[in-house]
Amino acid sequence: MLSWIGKTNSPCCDGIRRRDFISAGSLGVLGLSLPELLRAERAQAAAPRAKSILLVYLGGGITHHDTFDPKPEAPEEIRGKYGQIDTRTPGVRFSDQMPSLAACSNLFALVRSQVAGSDHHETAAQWMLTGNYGVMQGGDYPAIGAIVHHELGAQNSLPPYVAVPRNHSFTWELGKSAWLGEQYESFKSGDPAQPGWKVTNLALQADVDRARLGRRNQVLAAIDGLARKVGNSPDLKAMDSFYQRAAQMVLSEDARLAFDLTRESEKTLDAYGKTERWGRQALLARRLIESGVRFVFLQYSAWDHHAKIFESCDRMLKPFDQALAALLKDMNERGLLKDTLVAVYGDFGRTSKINKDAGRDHWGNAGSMLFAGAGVRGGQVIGKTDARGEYVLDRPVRPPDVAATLYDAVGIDFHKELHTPQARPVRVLPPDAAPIHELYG
Amino acid sequence: MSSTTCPGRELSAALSTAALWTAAFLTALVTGPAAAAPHSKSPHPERITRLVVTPASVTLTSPTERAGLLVLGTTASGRVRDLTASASLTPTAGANFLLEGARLAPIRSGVGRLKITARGLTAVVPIIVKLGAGPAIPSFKGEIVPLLARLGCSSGTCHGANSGKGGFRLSLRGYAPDQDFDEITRQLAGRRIAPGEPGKSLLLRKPLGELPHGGGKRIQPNSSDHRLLLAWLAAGAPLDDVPQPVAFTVAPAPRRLDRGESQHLQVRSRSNSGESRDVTDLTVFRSNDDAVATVTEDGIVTAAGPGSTAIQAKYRDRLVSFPVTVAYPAPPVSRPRPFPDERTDVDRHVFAALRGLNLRPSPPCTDSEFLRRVYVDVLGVLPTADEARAFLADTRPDRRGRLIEQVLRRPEYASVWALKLSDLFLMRKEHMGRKAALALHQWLTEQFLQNRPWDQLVVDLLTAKGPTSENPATLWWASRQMSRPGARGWVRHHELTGEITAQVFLGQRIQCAKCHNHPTERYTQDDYYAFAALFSGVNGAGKTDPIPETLVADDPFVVMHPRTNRPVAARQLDGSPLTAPQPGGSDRRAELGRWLTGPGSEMFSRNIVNRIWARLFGSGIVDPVDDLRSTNPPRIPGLLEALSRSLVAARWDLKQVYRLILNSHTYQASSTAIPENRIDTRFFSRYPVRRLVAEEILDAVAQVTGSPDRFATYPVGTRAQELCDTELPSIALDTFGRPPRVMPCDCERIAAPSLSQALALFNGDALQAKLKDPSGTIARLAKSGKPLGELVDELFLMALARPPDAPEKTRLTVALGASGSLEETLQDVLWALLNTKEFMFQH
Repeated sequence: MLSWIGKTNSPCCDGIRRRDFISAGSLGVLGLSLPELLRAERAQAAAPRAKSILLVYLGGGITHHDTFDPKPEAPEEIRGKYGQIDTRTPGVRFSDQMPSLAACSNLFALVRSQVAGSDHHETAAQWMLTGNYGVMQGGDYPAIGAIVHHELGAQNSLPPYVAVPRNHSFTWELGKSAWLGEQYESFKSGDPAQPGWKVTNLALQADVDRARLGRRNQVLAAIDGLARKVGNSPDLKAMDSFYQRAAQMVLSEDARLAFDLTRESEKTLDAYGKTERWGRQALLARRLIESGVRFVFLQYSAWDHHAKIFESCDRMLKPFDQALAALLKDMNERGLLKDTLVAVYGDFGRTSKINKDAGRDHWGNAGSMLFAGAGVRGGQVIGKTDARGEYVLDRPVRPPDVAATLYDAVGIDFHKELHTPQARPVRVLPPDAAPIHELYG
Repeated sequence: MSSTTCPGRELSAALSTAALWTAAFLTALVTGPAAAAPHSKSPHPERITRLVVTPASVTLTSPTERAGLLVLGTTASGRVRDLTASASLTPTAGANFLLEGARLAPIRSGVGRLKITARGLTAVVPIIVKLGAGPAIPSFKGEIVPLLARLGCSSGTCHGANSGKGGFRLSLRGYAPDQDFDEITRQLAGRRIAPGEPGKSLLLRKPLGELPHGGGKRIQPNSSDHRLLLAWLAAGAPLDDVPQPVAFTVAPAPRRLDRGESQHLQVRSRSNSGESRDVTDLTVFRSNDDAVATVTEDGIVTAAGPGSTAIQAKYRDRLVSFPVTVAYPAPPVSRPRPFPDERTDVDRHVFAALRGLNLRPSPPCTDSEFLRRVYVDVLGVLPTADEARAFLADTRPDRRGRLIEQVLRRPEYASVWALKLSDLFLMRKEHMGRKAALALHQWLTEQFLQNRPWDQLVVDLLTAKGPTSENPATLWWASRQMSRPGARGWVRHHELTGEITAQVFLGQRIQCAKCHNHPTERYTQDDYYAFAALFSGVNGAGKTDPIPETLVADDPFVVMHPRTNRPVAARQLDGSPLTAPQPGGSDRRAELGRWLTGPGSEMFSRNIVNRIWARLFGSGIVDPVDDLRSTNPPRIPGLLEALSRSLVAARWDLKQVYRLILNSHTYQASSTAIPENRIDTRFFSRYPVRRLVAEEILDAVAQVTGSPDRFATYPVGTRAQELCDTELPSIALDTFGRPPRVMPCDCERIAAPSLSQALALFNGDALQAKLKDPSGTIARLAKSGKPLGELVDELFLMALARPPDAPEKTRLTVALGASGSLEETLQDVLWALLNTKEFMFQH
């Protein structure tokens, strides 16, 4: 039917590679990414503690005084306005805004000795998100999630690294894939709390079924020659890998199911806080972990309270407490904590003394973090701060140690060197990075 | 361990530009005995024929001063080698100085001599010591504060953090020495210094490691650093008022380094009394790109990998950069291809740079590549099938030049610039209201339609006043993103105006200096507020709706310095004072206008030619495009200067710059890598492949499918590139990286590919709807009665500006098979075309 039909022999004769030929509807071939699968298998051999990581990122820097490290003996200008409550762990008290987490403190280890090392949002966030001290704009070190993607690959057709709802950003986007390339960048889910939210373009369209999409792909493979022609283009390479992933996601059920919050029961929705934005996001994060996503970045960046901190905390802490506790309990009940490491931390803590605007400012010398799952012994507290909550007295944990803890959990050798596109060797983490081994003690 | 807790480097990115580099050094040329034999045991086979020692004579005037010598050798072939490390130094006369390692230290006044021997050659340098009476009193501002910066004490991760460290807080890299003096001598009840026993001061014992110190041991006992601090403490820890140096220079002259080769740097400062001294030991060094060159704390540069970068040296408020170029390895071909003819000045500069780096440019692109490329780069749109047919049929040798002229006359050129400036001016409905955004956008479009000279356009904006309904340029000042104190209506804060003006029109990011001196540029906090004060007279008058009825510029508001709380006198960005007196209530902006085209014209013109270049190549000659810092030099310095000069010569006619670039081989080079440039991504040896930006993708899809997007409240047929603000919700535009318009930074626009983009094109219902549009391209073609092959040719021309080639036709025939209606088949072909990277990417 084509009027310029010429010789139509073998389609392979002019350089098309076999993998470009896709039979309609055959997912395996369409989404083939053998290296990723092989890597995934290799990673299993070392029997790591966890298969996946859920990083709950409290961007802006949450106040440790008013949450997990209250100082009831300190003067009011430090203590703040909240009372303290007992937790399930004897002798450990939280702020009275954290009742749900206090009641399930057996599920997580609390680290009261985060030393972010910088009071500057972008610098500290890059540090906490990469484990490396670099430039505040990023670009010199890939985010932990990007390295997990690079090292472990996907477990199925879902992208191995997903950000809910997107990457952390204070002024510009932080924690990106840097020189690993765009193909290792997180997939952004968008905000599941928005009315009408869905991951766009995931469902097959009514008039383009599998067979037709397969044909389209064959046509595309027949004419998509630019990457071959120009030779060395990281962006084209990245776009190619995104197309492979896109095809996998559209043609399999995994992704649609993973992103479908309507499958959750009313009871679960209520537990997370049905009307709470962040509860919805936390629920989506759990579904993604359950569906096999390697690294879920769950963002909750709203803690930069330089002024009127208690007005904000009155509003925000209770729903945060409820959703985070629901997330941990739900993951525990579903057995997900067995092979998922959950880490909860932010840029840094906040100043002890309440400032003239009734706020607390940036404080890189102390902060609190939570870890759960993957064999972490719950109900323990690691590290402590001084009477004012200003400096760490015991067991300082720095950004490289946090990153090392995450890598260690999924069996990534963080001492190894990766190579930039210019073949420069870059260590995953600085030589003195060490996991928080007490977590498992 | 200490070095990782307390790294000496800090926040700063790839840095850059106009090389402040000066070679104001006394350089002695001392030739050794002509018969000097080369070192027989030297691992270097090269014979050194000349020895050059810098400085040619050393003068030491302060007891605490330490001076180094830079020893360079020249080979027979004219190459320069750094022999500083291997040179042997022997005092031959005078007992007025001694050697501390490789540093000269004064003992008493007098004249002595030092013999320098390297590779069999010798040179002799006079050492003059002129000491005043009295004990050595180091300068707090000139020596102690810089030393604390160099040791990393005042870095952002140590005591320079806003919250300090361990209760001790210094200003970030010592930008506020008076504040630091107070912190060191008075805070903590003065316990940081022990007046009776200076050696017991916390300020010494902590960094010496005698007491627990979170930052570890920073000073070696009995080192010159130790003695300097001790001397200052012993003198009673006084404060002085040594002025900032008037000149700050680095030696040697820049040269190409081989991979692995090292070079010592020497830094000197000159005071206003003309006194010059070596401050290498008080300077903080850092490399813009460790992958190209690393630098030690002592200022020894080592070439790490191919490319070019700069080493920054910072002493007090002064910054200077030392450019480093490291050649690529020889290409893996026996005979690298010759350079093509140079077509414009652009090629002259680019080719010279490529020669130095061992690279070659790619051969010319094809006509259809050129056609599509120039349309998208200059106009933001694809050529139509008819335009493609006409150009591909043109056989005249000057057809490309003619096309360039045609394209430069098209109105879409104006839309591209109006969009760019609307981004950078942060035009959002919530900032200025839709009506004002529309009016300002239209005014901008008109300026580019008329090809208004750039200087006039900018001065119109910066000096606009009067009734806002009559002069749309006044609306540039209307914003409530950050309102000025006492604003009448929506009037932007002078600080934000200063930031936008500096970044958008001058390529200077001054935001850092709002809170502290800029860590990687010469701007101080004083400069920031003095520049903002140029704009503080602007306010609204008359009715406010909320846009003021009239914009006035003589509001008596006075800017106060946040640290000193004193009134700030307005100054230009380079620190030069205004020529006329500036009482409160006068319009200071006209002076800025005159400065832009006078003393500031270099900065002003470089910024815009760099932005034009970035539009045409995806990244600037200086990268990032809006960061023309002295410490972030251009990749090809001569090129930026040449374009900038030609713009001024053309009376700020931007299209002249376009002509110089578009007609060059460099612009018309293929995007295909050749072995001689495969690893290059920075020096424009081939045309860079990059994704079309958000609005361009939408418009291109709309154009090819014949199914325009409808944007609420805009007339039908409005292109995405013609929208005046970012109010319109558009998942598609957001997916492809439309900037949110919150910062006046080019970095807001994302050009990187993503999975969501792949999903949008691969399985997007918006695209499918366009393919099925009953009044769209496919419906039209399906009804035309023409054979499928012809229709497919047409689709190729529309999407890719070229017909399919024979192998593609063969493969297409196989892939399409025999199923589906004609309409479905055409839909599938066009779907595939729109999903090719050839469509999505500039190439």
